[in-house]
Amino acid sequence: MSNILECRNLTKTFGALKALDNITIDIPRGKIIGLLGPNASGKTTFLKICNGLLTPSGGEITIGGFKPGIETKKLVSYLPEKTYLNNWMKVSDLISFFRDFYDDFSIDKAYDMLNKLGISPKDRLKTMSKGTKEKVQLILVMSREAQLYLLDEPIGGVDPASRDYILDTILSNYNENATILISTHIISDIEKILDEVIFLKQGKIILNKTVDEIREENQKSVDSLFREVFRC
Amino acid sequence: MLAKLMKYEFKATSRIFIPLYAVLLVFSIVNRIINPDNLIRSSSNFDIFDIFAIVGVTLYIGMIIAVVIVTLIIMIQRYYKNLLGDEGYLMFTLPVQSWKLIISKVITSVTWSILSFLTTIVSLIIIMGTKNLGTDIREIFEFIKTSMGAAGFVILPLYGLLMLASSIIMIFTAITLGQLFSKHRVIASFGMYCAIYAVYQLILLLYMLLIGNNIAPAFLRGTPSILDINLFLLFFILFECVRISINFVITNNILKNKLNLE
Repeated sequence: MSNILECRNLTKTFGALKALDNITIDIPRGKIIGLLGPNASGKTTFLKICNGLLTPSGGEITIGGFKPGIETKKLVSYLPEKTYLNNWMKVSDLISFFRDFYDDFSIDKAYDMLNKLGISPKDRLKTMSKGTKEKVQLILVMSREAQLYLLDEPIGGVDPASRDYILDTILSNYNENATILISTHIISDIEKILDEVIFLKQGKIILNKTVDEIREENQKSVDSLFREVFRC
Repeated sequence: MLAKLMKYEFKATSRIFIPLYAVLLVFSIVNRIINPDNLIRSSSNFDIFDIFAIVGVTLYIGMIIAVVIVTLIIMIQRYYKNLLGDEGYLMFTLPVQSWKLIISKVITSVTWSILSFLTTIVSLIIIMGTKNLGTDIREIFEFIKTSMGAAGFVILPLYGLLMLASSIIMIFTAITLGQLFSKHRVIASFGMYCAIYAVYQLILLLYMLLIGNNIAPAFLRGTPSILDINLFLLFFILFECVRISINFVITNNILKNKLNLE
């Protein structure tokens, strides 16, 4: 089984709106893939379906051969675009929470990253800025030894200086068989680490290529191709 | 995993309940020392102490009402926010079956409801004193024994517990059903509660008519036997068991197969 994620004719509607329109895609193991598209193109909807937080209106999705459920949740480490952390907890409480529920969570890794980003484990979430909370969340997610990382806008609210460290963090925690799917619309910062890209537009996949293919065929960076494809 | 979920659920809720109970108990002790009841009765003319006393009693009653309301609100809020709000993004990506999430919420809610009740009783005892406490309790026990026999000491607590759990699960079911709507989910949850409540009242009425033939005559004669009373309660216990099962299955099915977090 070479694909970590497969979906067939995946569709999600909200009332009359088609958030995902008949998506069929295979996502291989061991790649860093950018899920790129403008706002409201269906990126978050897709990731939420992968995590079982939304129920598809049609079609099928499997992760590691399983439909979203308890088995896939062991394999997937998910960073949502929302802050899902309890405000009253300390960072150290969250770390023990993650260790309690995820067998693949590494405490050492988490404390090491906190230390490097200058976040004290004793701090309460309540006292933190939005950006710091996002960092904590990303640290928790990347401290797992998962097979598939689904990162929804991981660098959106983080300052450029920390972005580099975070991208390095993602890269250095990346084990060879794991796949990282990063959804974003800030492409230039993230382009250098991507192997493949998926362009989503109004719930449809309009492009699915490797970054090398794009550079060869289009003679362009992913960023400029994106600007061209999604020109308003 | 259930134990771990409950550990965090108690951790999240105890930081509100423990201080709340502490305040109620401290307040009872203060009230006891001031002894407003005596002050009001003993003083022939109204003076400044009476105002203190009246304020004290009013505050105390307010506190007891607050405990009831807080218990209810925390129960609803924990379910709604922690599972169906933003925190649900974390809870539903844990490798845990959805029924365990529900059960952990039910058990903690039942526990806190009982503790709130017990704390209120303790606070009443503090205020009123323990003078007649022994005889009062003995009288209650005696009453249960004469009307229900020894079985009453099992059936009554069991019925209380089931009724409590059942009411809590019904609230959770209503909130969960509200999530099936794409808009106005809070109002939808409230509407769902009213609807479920009406349905069960209707079923209960039919159920009563059904079993009434056997039980009612004894009650109408005014001389129900120990067996009659126990049977009567057992029928209600059965009803609550069915209600719990139905609501639980509905709730779990939605969370498992039809989840749509906003």
